[in-house]
Amino acid sequence: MRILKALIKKEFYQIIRDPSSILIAFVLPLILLIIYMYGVNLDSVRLNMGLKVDDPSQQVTTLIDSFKSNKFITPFVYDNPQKMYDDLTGSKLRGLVIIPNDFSSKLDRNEAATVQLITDGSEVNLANYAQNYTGTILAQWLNYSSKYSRKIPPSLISIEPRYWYNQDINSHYFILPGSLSVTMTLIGMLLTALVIAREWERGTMEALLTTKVTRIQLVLGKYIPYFILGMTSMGFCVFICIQVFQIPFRGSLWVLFVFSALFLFTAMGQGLLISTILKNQFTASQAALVVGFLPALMLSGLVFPITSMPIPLQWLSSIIPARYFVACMQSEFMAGTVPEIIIPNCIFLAIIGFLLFILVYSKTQMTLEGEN
Amino acid sequence: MGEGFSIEIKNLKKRFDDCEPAIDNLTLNIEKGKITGLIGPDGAGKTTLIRLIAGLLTPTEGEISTMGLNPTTQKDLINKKIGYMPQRFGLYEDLSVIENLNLYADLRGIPTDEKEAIFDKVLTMTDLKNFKERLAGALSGGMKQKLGLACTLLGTPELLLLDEPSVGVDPISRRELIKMVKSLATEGMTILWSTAYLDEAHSFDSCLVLNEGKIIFNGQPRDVSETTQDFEEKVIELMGGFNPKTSELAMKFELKEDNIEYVIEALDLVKKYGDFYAVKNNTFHIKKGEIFGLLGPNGAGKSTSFKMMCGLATPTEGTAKIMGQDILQNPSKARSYLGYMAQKFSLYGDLSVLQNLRFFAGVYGLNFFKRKEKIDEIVEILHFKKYLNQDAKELPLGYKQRLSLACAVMHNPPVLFLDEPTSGVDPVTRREFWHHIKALAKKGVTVMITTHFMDEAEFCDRISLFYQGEAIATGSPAELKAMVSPTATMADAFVGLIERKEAINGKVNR
Repeated sequence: MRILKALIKKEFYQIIRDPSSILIAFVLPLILLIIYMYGVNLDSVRLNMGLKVDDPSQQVTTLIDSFKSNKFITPFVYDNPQKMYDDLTGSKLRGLVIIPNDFSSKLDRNEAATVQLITDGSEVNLANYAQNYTGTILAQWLNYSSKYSRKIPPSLISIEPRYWYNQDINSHYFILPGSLSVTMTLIGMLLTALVIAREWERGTMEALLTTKVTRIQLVLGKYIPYFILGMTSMGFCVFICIQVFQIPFRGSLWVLFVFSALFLFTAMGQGLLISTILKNQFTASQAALVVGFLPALMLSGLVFPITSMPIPLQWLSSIIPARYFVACMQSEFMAGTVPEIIIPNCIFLAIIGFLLFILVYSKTQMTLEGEN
Repeated sequence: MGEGFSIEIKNLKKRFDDCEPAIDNLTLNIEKGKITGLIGPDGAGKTTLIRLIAGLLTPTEGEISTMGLNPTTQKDLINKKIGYMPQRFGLYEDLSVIENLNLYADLRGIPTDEKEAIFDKVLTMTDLKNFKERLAGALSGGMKQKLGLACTLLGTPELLLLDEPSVGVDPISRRELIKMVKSLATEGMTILWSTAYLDEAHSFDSCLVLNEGKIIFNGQPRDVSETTQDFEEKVIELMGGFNPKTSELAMKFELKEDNIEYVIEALDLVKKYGDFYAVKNNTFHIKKGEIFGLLGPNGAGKSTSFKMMCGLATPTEGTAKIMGQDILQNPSKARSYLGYMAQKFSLYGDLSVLQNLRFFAGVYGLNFFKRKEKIDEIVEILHFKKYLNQDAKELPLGYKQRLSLACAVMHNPPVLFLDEPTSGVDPVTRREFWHHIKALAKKGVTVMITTHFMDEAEFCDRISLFYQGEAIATGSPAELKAMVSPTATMADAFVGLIERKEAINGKVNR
């Protein structure tokens, strides 16, 4: 017990004196949160669109006004088609709407009129937006047009959407809590990936191995201090999310604390395992980035829903701790504590964390045998 | 287990992968309560042997008994009885002196109420009392070693294993270290001390000479020879000897003719860090073909002077001239005359020997045809054939240093700056090194060198003794010795002159 205490104390001295661990624990998550808050936006965006009207009729001018008054579109009216195409290929415009000269005459004759929409397919999301916006504007114009509104058949069904858990469909409400999985993976792994490798590199491991230190003390002596640091950092992130960014929180902080602790336990297990095996700070940090960051972002269900992944990737995602954490986080923030979600996910986290702990324990060497 | 033996080894073999065995069929006993010196060239298996004894490695074949215990199966029990100081001391550089002591005291299970008294004792012994709060990383090399020793001594081990504790430490610190350890031995501690300093080994009770994993001598150093000087000769002979031939490195060296009288000049060099003078008002002029040595304790300002002279650090005041070129006004021109060998290994560890040679030939601007010729020549002269495709970081220390020297002289520089080129290098390789250096100087190359080996100091034409940033004495080795006493050795002169200076400083301070 005394040895463990001494090791933990030592580790804390090192944390305090080494600015990089503070940087990783507090500055890095802050930067990431700011990026996710202000940089990542999956909601509607304002688009520049080109507009070319070949139909001089009176009715069409009101259509142009509809485009102009829409809050998601900034239209630019062109006469010269070449200039308009150049602006599209020059990425000044996200889409072009061309209203042909027979537009109103076709409508007058009760025929279906066509409008051409050209979008930049290299930006798929924006192209989709352009299409949706244009469609909506045209439909609305038609509805309110004094001349044509009576010509459209009354729709028998209308949709009254209600978005549960996230009424404003503000994507930040689910991205920000979920992004904590990426942040915590990074922190948990980066902090720990360096520390055992550092002992090997600086030759202090060799000295430790000839003292009374036992294997379990060596392992716990790394887990405990960084766990405390990681949980502090987690608390800091949650505070920023709830208090500063005003993300609604509907669950219980205690539940949040429990599954965050379990998740951090798995992240540290991965970091320590990398560090134990690689014994080199540089490679260990690189490995932590690749093994930790990318799966936590891509395979956790944060950005891409797991159920829509190919089956092999779904299997793979089941060993990614971040997956279980994202599920817990989003439920806790948006829906409140749902035991059916929290309990199984926590069990999985605990199993993975425990397995990693066993692996770290068994890979921790007590001799120099097998050192490169 | 035999009476009076602390370590017993029988037919011990240790093999790493498929290489030649690092320890080859070793049988030996180490006596209780004695200091045994472990010497041998780099790669002889000294560190491997110590690690095997401590149970950090497991033998491939054979038996070891460390204080009657089996290191492989009873490592826990052994750990309680030994103090082991690895080559890099095992200190936490970001912990202070007292924090390091506290940590190791806890790890060695010293009762809390005894800590205070024990710390007091070891801090007094190591003279670190005034530095308790200083971070270990900010200590000088000599102090680090003493702290490392202090940490291993906590818990009064029965067996002390020291792996090259005196590498890169100045003579004063070394003397203190030896004195400390010797006083421990009189209290009954068994000590195994690996070292590259033969004068140290000569003063021990017993000595073991290893070569390629085999024992080539085991017995009392006095049996080999009565005097340190002669002991060194004999041991070098035992290790296969060094037969001086004409230095081909020097022969193939092409020196451009010139008629500058003073090749290296330092003019009132000053380096200040905050309020602290790292180098004070340093002036000297070095003639063509001279070997000029900078001596002094760790932290005296030798390396700082070096760095200023080759433009790696900007002087606070003053300047230096290389071949008449001012290092501040014409840095690249001045530097082009330089061959520089840094204290730390500064080649590319992940490149092979051949790749390193090619790279440096390239950056020094050797033309394409000349490059191949020069590299072949160096490989031949410095015996690199065996290591050609090995990564530089995996070379034995002696070979690393040879490679550094080869890269430093590749472009035939008229001036060589060598910063502790022989630290930690075995005696045979050191001989070879100095053989080349002397031959190069004879040819007209001017050499500025720092060293902690007093015998090497004797090879210099002139020496400048540094202490606390100042050159306190400059002259030929004979002149320096004469300043202290007619019969003084170089080490006496070193210690004597510094003590004298300290006495004066003391008066001034009072």
